Amino acid sequence: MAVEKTEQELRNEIDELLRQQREISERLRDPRGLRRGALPGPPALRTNGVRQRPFIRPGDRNDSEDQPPSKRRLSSAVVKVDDGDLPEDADAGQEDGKTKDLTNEAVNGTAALVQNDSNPFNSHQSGWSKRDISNQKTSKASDVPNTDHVPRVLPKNEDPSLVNRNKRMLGQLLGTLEKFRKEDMQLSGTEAYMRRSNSLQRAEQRAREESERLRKEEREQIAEKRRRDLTLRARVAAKTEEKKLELLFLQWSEHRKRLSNFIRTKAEPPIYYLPNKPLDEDPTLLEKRKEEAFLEWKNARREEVSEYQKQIGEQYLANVEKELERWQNARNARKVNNDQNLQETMDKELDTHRLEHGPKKRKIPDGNNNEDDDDVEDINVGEDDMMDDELDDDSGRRIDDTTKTEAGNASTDPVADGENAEGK
Amino acid sequence: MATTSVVPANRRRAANPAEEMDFETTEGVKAIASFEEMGIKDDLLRGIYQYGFEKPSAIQQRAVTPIIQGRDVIAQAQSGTGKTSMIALTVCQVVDTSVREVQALILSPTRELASQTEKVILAIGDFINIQAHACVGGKSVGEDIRKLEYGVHVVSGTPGRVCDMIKRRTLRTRAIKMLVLDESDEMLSRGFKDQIYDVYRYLPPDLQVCLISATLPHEILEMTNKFMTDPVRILVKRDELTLEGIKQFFVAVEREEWKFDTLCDLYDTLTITQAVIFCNTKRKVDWLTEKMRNNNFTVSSMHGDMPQKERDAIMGEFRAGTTRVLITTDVWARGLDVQQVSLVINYDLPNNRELYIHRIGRSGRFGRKGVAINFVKSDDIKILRDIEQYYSTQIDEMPMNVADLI
Repeated sequence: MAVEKTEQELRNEIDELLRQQREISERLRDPRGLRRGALPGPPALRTNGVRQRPFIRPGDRNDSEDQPPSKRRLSSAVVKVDDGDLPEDADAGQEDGKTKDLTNEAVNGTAALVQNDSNPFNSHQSGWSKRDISNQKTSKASDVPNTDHVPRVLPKNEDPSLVNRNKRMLGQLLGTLEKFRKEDMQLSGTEAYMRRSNSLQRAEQRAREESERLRKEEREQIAEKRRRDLTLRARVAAKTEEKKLELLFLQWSEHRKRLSNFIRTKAEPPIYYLPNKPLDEDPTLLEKRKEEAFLEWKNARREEVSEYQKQIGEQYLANVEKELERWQNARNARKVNNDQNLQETMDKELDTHRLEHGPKKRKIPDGNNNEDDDDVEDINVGEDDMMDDELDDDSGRRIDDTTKTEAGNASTDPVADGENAEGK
Repeated sequence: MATTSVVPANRRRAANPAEEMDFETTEGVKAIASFEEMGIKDDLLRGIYQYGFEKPSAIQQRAVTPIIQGRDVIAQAQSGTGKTSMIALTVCQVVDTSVREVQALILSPTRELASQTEKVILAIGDFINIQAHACVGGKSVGEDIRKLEYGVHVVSGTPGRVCDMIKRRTLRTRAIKMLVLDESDEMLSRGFKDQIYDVYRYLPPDLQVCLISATLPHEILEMTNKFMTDPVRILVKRDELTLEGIKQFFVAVEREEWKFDTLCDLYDTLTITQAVIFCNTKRKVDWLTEKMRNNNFTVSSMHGDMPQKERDAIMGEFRAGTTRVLITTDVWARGLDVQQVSLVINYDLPNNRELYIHRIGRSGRFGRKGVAINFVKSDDIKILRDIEQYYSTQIDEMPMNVADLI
């Protein structure tokens, strides 16, 4: 009972250690926590936001969706279908890369409105898809002019007053630009302008330096955190192995204890046997000697197990150093690439993730090796059990043989038989 | 310093009574003529002067004070008149730099604009040790996580990436007290509105909201009642939206394929300073870029489908003046500030009236001169005249045979 509980405790401890190991591995795989998706906002916060200061209530939203179509016509009546195949809103929306389906729908609505504006007599209720197709064709035709080039029909300079007017207009245009240039040269030299330029440059530099400093700090933190996590994981793994060895030792001891009830021959293969009748030795003394022998054996094995556990721990920590070195090399290689790229991008983050994930895969063989070791241990245990079974069978047969021999003796010697009867 | 156009009386349209009654600049908004009088803290004043500002622009005079007082504000001002630096200034004034938590969130429609805003905040807030981060798509998620976990006071971002960081719990919102929607009519348009809502619902309930844009259509202003509390409105009438310093022209090219020839004629004009050419589609940007290069013209191009690194490089080169002609989509139309740009060409007319203001606003920055040229096909003339009338501005015709006049 006590033994079973101890074994159960060991198993629980092993499970807990394995869970910790998985947690640390997960942390190592995603050092910045970038891979997690957008978390849903807390319901309380959302509710509060909507209730206390609603931007648009559902009912209001419907109203506002309905109102813009009619009003937009007034302020955007200048639009012509030919002028573009994409509404400006769509451009702006796409530019941020966060356009939602609803936004797309809204943009399509805008396009439809645009078309309606240009054709006031067409019904708003007619199908959009048909109109969109038509719009698309028209847009493509006008968007990029065909390569058939017709020479321009330039106006002839017949009317002197018109020519003079045109020259005056051109003069105004060029004059304005020239005036701008002179003023700009003058302004560029002013102290105020230079202060502004310097101010913006300094701000930009400050932002860049701050950014680089934070990035460097983060790299150092990540490296330190990785070292700590790897060390911790190694210790946890080592402790797991120790517990497993402990469990194995416990089972081994139990097995050994059972064997110590028997006498073992010195000849090979060893045979465990038990005499039919107890020896002359004092039972108490015999029990004491058995106990001493078992304890002596147990202590010797305990020392061996402790030594082996120590070696395992050292081996795990040594592996940590190697893994850190490998990771640092991969990172330095990546850093060289980063120097070529001025800024990190999402793609770079993904590459980083893959690179950091790569070394992880190399751990799998090690894992397999560990499993192989476990299997070997299990096989040994199996062999011990098999041997035990064989020994039991042999003992049974030997006892039977002894009985037969005695029976034979009795039948051939009446005098001996009589003596035995008297003895009984 | 802001240039407000003086429109001849006969051009001014009768104002729409309903519109005027509904949405006007809030009464009592005062113009405060110096940064000191606004109550700006000393180290921040130092940053402002270091940035080259000596006197607040018109919008800065009017909008900074109500914002730092914690009011919800709707601020409209012409292109290139200091709206971004006004955002940076108010944000730096409002955040407590001893608390390393996100306290202000600025949302912009494009990555380049969000990054630009971040730089201005860091520049103006140099002496108060402001920590700001541009949280935009296409950049490293690891970078965002590092910065946000390190702790920043201000986040300037695009809504998609910002929402992602919030959902990951990397961007904590409990200390955010100010939300700024830059280019807010775009941010509240159909394309972005759902993303804005996704971010908004994670923010604290007593949030201060500021809307900033050069264009604020009526339907946008109507929408603000749903999420703003008694906002201070600082609005500009549409007939004062175009800048007097920008001369506007159009060339009646009659046919689409003649636009290219006209552009080639103008190329030498383009490179007097720096120029931006707008097309309506990414495909057309690519097509035009290729065609220009095949004809031995040096141009660069940019649109939303390009990898972010490429976009950043092109942006850097154009800002530095290494390249002088940029062909792009409306990803470049809003907010971007390159002061050397003096010429904008609308190779295609924009799809809505607001975009016209934003596109030509890439030139004429902060009181400078500028030129805008529109290429108009025969059936586009009406659209252009409609824009001209709507904004009470003047767009003069240039003939197609420009080359003959030089």
